[in-house]
Amino acid sequence: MSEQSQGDTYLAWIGTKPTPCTGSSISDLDGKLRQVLVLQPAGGATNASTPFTAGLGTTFSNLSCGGAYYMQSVIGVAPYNVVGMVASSLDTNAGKLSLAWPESFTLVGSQEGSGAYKMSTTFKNNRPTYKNGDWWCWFDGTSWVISTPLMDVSGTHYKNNAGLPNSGPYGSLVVSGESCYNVSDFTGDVASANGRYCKAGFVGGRDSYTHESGEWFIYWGGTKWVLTNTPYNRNGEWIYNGSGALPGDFTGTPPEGASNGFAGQTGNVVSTAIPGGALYTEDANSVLSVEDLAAVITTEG
Amino acid sequence: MAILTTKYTIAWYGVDGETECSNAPISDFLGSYDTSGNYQGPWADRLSDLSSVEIYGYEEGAPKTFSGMLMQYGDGLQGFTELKCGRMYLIKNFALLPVEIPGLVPSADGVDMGRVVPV
Repeated sequence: MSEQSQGDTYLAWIGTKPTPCTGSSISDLDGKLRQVLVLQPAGGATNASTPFTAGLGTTFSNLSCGGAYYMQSVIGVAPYNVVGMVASSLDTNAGKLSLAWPESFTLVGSQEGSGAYKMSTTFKNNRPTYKNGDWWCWFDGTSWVISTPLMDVSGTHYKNNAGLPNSGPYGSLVVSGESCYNVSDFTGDVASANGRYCKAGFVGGRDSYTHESGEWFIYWGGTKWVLTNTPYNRNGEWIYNGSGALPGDFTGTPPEGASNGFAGQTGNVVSTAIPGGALYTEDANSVLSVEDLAAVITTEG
Repeated sequence: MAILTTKYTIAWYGVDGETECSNAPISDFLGSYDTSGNYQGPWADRLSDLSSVEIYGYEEGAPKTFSGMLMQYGDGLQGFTELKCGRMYLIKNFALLPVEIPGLVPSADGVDMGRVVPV
């Protein structure tokens, strides 16, 4: 890893796992950085900024967490540091990326639009998009949508009415192996941690989960599960969970087990996964009940 | 994993996962030419589009390039021939060839795609 510039021109990623990421001010790099480019979400062009124009407020002003940038230094400038930056150089392995969004997911069922959705290089509404043949999966600002042939709702489309792409159903299509949890019962300043989390990446040797807002995360901290708003560390608001194979209730107590914002609180955690052995309707479009008939998930109608 | 759907991509290669990252020969997803000049790979019907693909990496401030245009002349003219773990790349794909590259993570303005776990 290098927070230091890598010559006149280099590519850089903002944000590492061990340290809190707050982004970096471009105007603070006056005299060091000549220009920085970031791709527009549609990927057809770039936005440019300089320390001078960033200071004026006429171009983007920050290097944002989880973003990739093309950096051009002032010619001949001495190496300089950018907080939270990982400067890439072909001669150095700088590490691996823990993803905040799933690389892919698969929708199953007899309805159109089933199949494997894989991350594309197009972005929309501050989220990645996914491609499955002629189908797109994208975020409309409130819900994820699968649509064809375009990334809009002018043609055939289905919504999951959720803030995460791998949380079904889309119409009657369900997410194969859906791995999501609902967290509830937090109050006060950390009430925004309530809601749905779905599998996103891999941290510390286990699956990690991202909240539907993209602002909270659950990850394996080495000995315990951690819920945090600073991926993937305990530098912001955070609370410990158990050490089981899967997350249980969050019950940590400050200062060893939680940050002060979680003092005296317990977060209830419930898996939303469709149980193994669940019974489906004849057309496999709906789940009727689990194998032991202990729970009815949905009715056929 | 990323499917190239844009003219430009800036991306990290190598994700934290159940399996260790391994370097990816570019021929795995773009194909290659044999010594007789015959193309072997998935884009035989789009060779003109393939020739417009360019991948850039940087080392000590200087670019190194993989050029689709130079593929038919062998690897000797290429700046690199594989994507290495823990590096970033700039990809130009003006013909929008839908290349699928496992382990590639793109990002763009306004998107938080994740954090680097340093080695």
